[in-house]
Amino acid sequence: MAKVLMKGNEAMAEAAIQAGCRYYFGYPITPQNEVTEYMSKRMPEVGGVFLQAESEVSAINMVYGAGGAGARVMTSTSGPGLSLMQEGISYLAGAQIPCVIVNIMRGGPGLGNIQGAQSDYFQSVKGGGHGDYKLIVLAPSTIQEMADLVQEAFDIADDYRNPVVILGDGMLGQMMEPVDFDNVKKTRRNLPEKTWATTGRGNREHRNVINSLYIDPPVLEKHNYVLFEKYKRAEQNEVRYEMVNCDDAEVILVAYGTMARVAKNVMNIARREGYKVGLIRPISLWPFPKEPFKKTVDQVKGYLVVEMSMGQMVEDVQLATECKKPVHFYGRPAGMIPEPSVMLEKIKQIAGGAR
Amino acid sequence: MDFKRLTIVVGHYGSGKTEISINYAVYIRQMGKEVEIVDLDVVNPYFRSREVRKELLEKWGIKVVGVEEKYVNADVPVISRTVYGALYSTEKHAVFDVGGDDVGAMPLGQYRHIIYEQDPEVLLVVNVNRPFTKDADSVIRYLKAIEEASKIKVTHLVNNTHMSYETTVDDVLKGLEVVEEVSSKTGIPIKMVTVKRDLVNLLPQIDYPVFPLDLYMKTPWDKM
Repeated sequence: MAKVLMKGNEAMAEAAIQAGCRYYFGYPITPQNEVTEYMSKRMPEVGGVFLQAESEVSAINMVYGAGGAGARVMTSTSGPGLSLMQEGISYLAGAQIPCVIVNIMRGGPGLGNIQGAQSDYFQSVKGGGHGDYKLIVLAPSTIQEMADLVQEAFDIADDYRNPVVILGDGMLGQMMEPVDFDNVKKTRRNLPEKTWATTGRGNREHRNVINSLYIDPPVLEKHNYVLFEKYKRAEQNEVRYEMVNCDDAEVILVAYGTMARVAKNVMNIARREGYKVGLIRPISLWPFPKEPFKKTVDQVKGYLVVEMSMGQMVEDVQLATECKKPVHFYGRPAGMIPEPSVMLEKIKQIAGGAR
Repeated sequence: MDFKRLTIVVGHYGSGKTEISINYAVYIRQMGKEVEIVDLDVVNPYFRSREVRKELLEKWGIKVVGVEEKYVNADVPVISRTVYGALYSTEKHAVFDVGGDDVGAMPLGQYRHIIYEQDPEVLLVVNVNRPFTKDADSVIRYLKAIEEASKIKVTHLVNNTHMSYETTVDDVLKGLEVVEEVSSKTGIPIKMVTVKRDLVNLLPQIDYPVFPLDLYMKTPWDKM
């Protein structure tokens, strides 16, 4: 497949199919409908199953079923749909079922609007469902990276037996860019065999049961420790980030997804005006990249976190810097894009005024 | 290039209909005609001509009709009755920016009787770098599906093959080859080859009018 021009939503769907995903369950919601549309067209071509559920509650439980049987399975949605899925997501994490969940964020709360936003960070990263669990959350910022990370996400899910979230915003879902599926960047890993999957008893000694119910407290406690051993391993191995121009930076912008692309341009403008500005772009939002902050915290005057929200990731930056340096924030909710001129003004203030 | 009072721009999803509609309307305006853009796109949530309605009005005096102001950002397939003004006008020209694929072209069907009487130019926009329209046969499948859904016959083909900011002359020529094959198989003539303005001078001599495009649909970081 030569390079093609694709919408982010289409690219994620195609990437899933190329990663061996043969089951897609979803319910339409803007601005991710092209994932559903694309899957409805492509799944029959590859002998897979496309099913439009009657709601996101059904969709996520169908994911539970297919994932429990060992299949590569995906669903996609946007804020309101993700909220409906939270119970199922907690069950998936509890039952250790690998799956990929795409959330293309829109303005909220409530029905909000259909413009791209970044206000579901807490919901994805801190756990929108109940209980002690973590989701591995990946945030692409180009269409190519969406294709790369979706394929990686299926491997991570199988590796850790855990749901993986692709967190993008409406702009990434809707915009078009060239994508090269022949040169997808992916980590090599030896994926464990799915000996736990409910594929029929066959010659096995025991029945495989997919469940998140552990009624005996010491047994449930042990189960939680098992989960957290996995999360520890993920924190060691699955951290992803990009650092740009940080070596000499006095001010560092921190942004992910669409916002990182705006921030990168602001960084370049600031550099041209004589300000040493860098960019840290977290790609894995959980596990959150602490290293780039450890590396830079002594040298910088401060960080400026920019988000298309009222401030969510900023709290993880404060934790990662251990509040050793000021962490400033600028964001706008409702799908409004933070103004580059305001970002520039704030950079100048942090750097200590005009030059 | 000659043009008719009504231009209907259809095509597969993401083929570039909106940019071409806007640029074509600007061209008609520059030829001294009053012109409106009818935003009939009820399938795309972003990157629709209505988003630049203020810019088009201020810069060119071109009004974008088809959707009422209060529904501009709504996620509902609502088409305003102002469309009839554009359809029945005797002085004003109109360019219809139609939604992608057969699904997006469906709203056009309700106006088919009016449109037919007006002898419109119906442009099918093709970008062969899109995944579902790589070759002549797949383009023809889309052409037929769009004609079936809209009940309107395509009169001209437009080669708009590009790869966003990575577009090369080779992309344009590769697309032209496919569009020429579509033309010879269907008998539908090629109206023009559309390219970003900065590529116009790099193109070799070709047998069709080259129509330069200025891009209006921009990402937040492109607007800086």
